[in-house]
Amino acid sequence: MSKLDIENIIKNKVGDYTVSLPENSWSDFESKLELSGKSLSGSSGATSIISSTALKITLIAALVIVPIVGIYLLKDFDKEQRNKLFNKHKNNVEETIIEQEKPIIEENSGNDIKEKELENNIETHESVKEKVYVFKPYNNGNQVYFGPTEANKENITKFRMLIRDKKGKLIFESNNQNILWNGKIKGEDRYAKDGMYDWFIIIIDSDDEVYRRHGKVKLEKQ
Amino acid sequence: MNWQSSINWSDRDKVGRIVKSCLNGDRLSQKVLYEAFYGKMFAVCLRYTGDYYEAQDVLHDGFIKIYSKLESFKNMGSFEGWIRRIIVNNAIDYIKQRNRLFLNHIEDKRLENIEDAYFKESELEKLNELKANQVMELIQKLSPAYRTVFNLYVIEEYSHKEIAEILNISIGTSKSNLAKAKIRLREIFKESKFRNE
Repeated sequence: MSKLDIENIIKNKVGDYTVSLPENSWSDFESKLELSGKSLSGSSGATSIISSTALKITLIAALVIVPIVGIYLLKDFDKEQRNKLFNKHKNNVEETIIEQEKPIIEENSGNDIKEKELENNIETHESVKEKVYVFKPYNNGNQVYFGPTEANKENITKFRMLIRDKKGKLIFESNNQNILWNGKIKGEDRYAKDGMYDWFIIIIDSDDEVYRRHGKVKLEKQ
Repeated sequence: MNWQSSINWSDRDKVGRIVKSCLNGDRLSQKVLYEAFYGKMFAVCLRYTGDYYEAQDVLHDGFIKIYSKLESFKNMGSFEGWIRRIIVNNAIDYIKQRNRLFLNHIEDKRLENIEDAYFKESELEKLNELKANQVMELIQKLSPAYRTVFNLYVIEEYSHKEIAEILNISIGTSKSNLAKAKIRLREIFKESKFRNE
């Protein structure tokens, strides 16, 4: 075969490659729009973008009303510290390196693929070492929260945090940097199952810098 | 529901109606458009960024641009092609911004021997047996400089002259990066678990 063939092989293989649509993709997209302050042209209705003023009022109200126990005061949030957004909670959230698989990428070979077929098509990437936080939501009877603890909350103009389980189901969400994850399922007064979860966070600071972070957290209820 | 299968995106009337609804702020139409092209466009972003979450961010930024440019869509050619161009351009902008220093100056002495770029016939046969997602994985392991030129030349079919203009590099650098991308790809393939499957 000539050298052109390798180009043809690869173009044929991946030129029309398709990734299957995750369940929450559209709502994630809307969340990002909401955070970015951008709107789709002519958007209206119940899902319209919340104005930044309304969001600020909500955040201020939440700061006053919602008591947060067990988190440190947020401090010195600047560009150099962007990688420290998620830091240890005293004795409760530990940073560990464990064997963890990369996100699953699904192959959709047809146009109308059923869920069952999808499962059969799932291919996992090779194992890589990835930083994972271990989160124990209560310690000696004290509730502990998972979230960014070393950011200067004064500088945060917009905040969004999501926790999803392995299947992508939303477990927790917050638009307030003072409301962090307590290990419980959103809208329910029970803890999520022990295991691995994905966290996502978007912060916009007063300089309109956007910080996006994501990673894994392992919930261990003791 | 897979909207891609239920809407004929080659039908200009239908495309025109959906574009109009999107411009009028109809959120359902905007969602239909997003979900119809998510899979293919996410794959494009994955090829350029090499990281699942980065790809998602780049895709979302790309879709924001698509919605903001819908008014300029003339409905004369392929809608998917129009969308793809915006997504690719957005991915390239992201890479240029992110890897400003790395696109031009690649010096890897290990990749000097151009003969190494040629896959043996047995290797090509093995490569041809791989699934699409496995080939994607190989491409994703290339460095941003190699991956970008490789994608633009091999998949998007840009010329070296066009690539040089897009990436602000010389034509020679574009050719050199493509050759090195192939050498590196061969190395990655030989080291991969797929080779013996």
